[in-house]
Amino acid sequence: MRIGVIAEGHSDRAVIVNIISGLTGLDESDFQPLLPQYKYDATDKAAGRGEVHGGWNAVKDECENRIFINDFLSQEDGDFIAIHFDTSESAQYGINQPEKNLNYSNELRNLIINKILNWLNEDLSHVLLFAIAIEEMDAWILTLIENRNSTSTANAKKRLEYKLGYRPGKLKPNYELYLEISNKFKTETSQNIKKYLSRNESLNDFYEDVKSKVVPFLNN
Amino acid sequence: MMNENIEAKILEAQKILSDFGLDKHLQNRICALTLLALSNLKPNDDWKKARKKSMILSKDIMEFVNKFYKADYKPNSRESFRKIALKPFVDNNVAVLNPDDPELSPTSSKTHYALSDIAIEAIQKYNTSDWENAVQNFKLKQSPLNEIDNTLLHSISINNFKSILHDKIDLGRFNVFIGENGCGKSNILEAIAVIGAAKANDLSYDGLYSRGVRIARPDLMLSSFLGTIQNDRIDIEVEFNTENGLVSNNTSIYPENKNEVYTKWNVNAISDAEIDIMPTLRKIFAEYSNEGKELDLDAAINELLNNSGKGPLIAEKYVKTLSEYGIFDLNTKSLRGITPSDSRKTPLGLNGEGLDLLISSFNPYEKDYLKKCEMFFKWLDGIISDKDDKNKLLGLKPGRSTSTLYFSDRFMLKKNNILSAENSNEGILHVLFYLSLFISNKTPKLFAIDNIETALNPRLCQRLIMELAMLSKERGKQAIITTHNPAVLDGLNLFDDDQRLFVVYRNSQGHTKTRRVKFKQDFKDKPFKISEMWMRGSLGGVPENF
Repeated sequence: MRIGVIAEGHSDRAVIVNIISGLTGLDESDFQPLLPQYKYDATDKAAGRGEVHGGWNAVKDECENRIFINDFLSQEDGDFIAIHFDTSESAQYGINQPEKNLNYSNELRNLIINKILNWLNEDLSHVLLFAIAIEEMDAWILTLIENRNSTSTANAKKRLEYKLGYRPGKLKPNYELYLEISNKFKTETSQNIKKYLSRNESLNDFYEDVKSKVVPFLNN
Repeated sequence: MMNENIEAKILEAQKILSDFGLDKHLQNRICALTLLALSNLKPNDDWKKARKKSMILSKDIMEFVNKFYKADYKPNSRESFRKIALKPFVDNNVAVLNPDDPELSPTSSKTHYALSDIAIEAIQKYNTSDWENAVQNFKLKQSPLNEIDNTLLHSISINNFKSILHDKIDLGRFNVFIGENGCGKSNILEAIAVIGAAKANDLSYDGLYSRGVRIARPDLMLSSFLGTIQNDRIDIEVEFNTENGLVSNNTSIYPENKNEVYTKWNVNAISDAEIDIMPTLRKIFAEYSNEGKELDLDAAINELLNNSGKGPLIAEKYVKTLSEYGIFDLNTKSLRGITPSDSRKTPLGLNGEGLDLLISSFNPYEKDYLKKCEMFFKWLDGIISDKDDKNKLLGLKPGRSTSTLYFSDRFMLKKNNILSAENSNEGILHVLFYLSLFISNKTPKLFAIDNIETALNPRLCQRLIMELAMLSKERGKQAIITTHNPAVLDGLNLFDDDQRLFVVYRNSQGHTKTRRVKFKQDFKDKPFKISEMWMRGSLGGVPENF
């Protein structure tokens, strides 16, 4: 079994890999990175078109065109695809922000999931694992570090930088680093995992989504 | 009118000999007349009336020719008929010597000849729409070696060999392995070579090297991973798919000294064919001693193997298949005949040595297959085997090369269009090598090719792979191929279970693992190219950190 990962950045994929591995026992090599990746060749890059094909735009584009999604799902062991979104820029994509009440996190998650399914033009929700991080995925990592609810943390990345002892602007996200700093999702006891989940609703929702889809599949 | 019919019939007989793939000097008038006599065919007869009849040379064959074809061969032409036609006919399985009495002395006056069954069966179809198939069938059956057997290496489980701590691979007939540099692809190929050397009692430095294994100190040949205690033996289990079902063999090998590169490796093996040996052995010896018989060792061994339920043939077959296995890794200089042979493999060396000799020994059936190679190169007019190296004397090669292989170019002036292997482009040598490897009866039945794309244009790679996958079925070969060129993947039909694609990767502990790429049936109509999927990263098998 393999899980494809469409994420806004490589570092986001690392967090997703640790969370799912911890829950299911899958190995890092069971995850297939699909996005982000370089869209252009070195010639394009020299001509100024070298941006990484990632972020919200890339994910939206992929959902509408389904190049990587179909590639992956057409393979016999291509069973699930985790799709990641940070909600921080969601307003730009026509998603009205719900009221900031107790259900804010859950309502925003549902709005984004509906948007994704709209873009896909097909209900693939049974094979998709929605990694919708309210604001930023760094807020999920903060749950491993401090005992407080990170959902409403204003600038999660800055706080993470501070909590990890980096000087401002010095935390440069990359896959290996984020794999290391989110490693506890993979290695900690279920007791501790529960604690982390209680500190961020959107993290908990993702965890439950994986649990309800992947775990039964693995047990079959 | 009669003379015209005679000449027409002789021309037809010559055409038959040509279509049978006999050399030009075996298509002369005497050969044609001999074929007609052995077919009992008169000038006005239709070929479907050809029939097999044993004939004595002077009494029957020459008399038939003189009588019906208005010839006037004297008795002293006997030897010409024998040398020019009959002996080569027998050698080429067109005719049979003394079919009615195989024990006859070679000098007997009753020495007789008849067309072979395969020749008469084909000849009767001349001038019909079945002729092409009949010729193909004749060439196939002309040499028993052309017949293939379908025993396949079904699976291999590798334990504790280099980067492979444990992995099981279910193989097809034509297998392509992709993966990042350093993921362990070559180690998989080498594991089969190790078991091949063990089966051939050749588990020495030379035995491994000549099969293409990169030899290191034993403590580096045994898996070595952080946080684990190194095991001191390599375990490899193979399963063969035979007509009698799966036959397995489990082999353990261990070095006498882990720190000595030239150390002796020891072998322990258990196989299905050997598993019942002890009880059967006791029974056989008891019978011999009870009955007071003298022990016939050969008979006892055969009885033993038959009693094991698998039979001697299967045991022998898979041992031969494994022991002949080698990893081909071509080098253009070796293909050109410039670098002297570095490997003991025959007929083809692991780096491309011996291609010229192999091609020159091809039988008509093999030659027909090779002819297809001409479609791969627009400029190629023909392949020439210059057995006597006469072209060298004509100055057609500078002389560094020992290869007797030449190519004619269709765009060059006819009197000046022969290129030696030393001067030709490297692509054709690589393609020709692979085709010969798959076509030949003499090359191993199971082999590996490391980096098949070397020196080949991407589009050519794709077409070549399609051809090789087809040849592997038709010629009974099983191939394990590695590549870094996406175009190779576009030649594979992954909906055919015989053709398999594997991604080799390291897991999070660094262990080499293998995953088969298969597509879901409901995606059968998807317009994707596997090469693009690989390049996009959707298959895996590419670096992920940049």
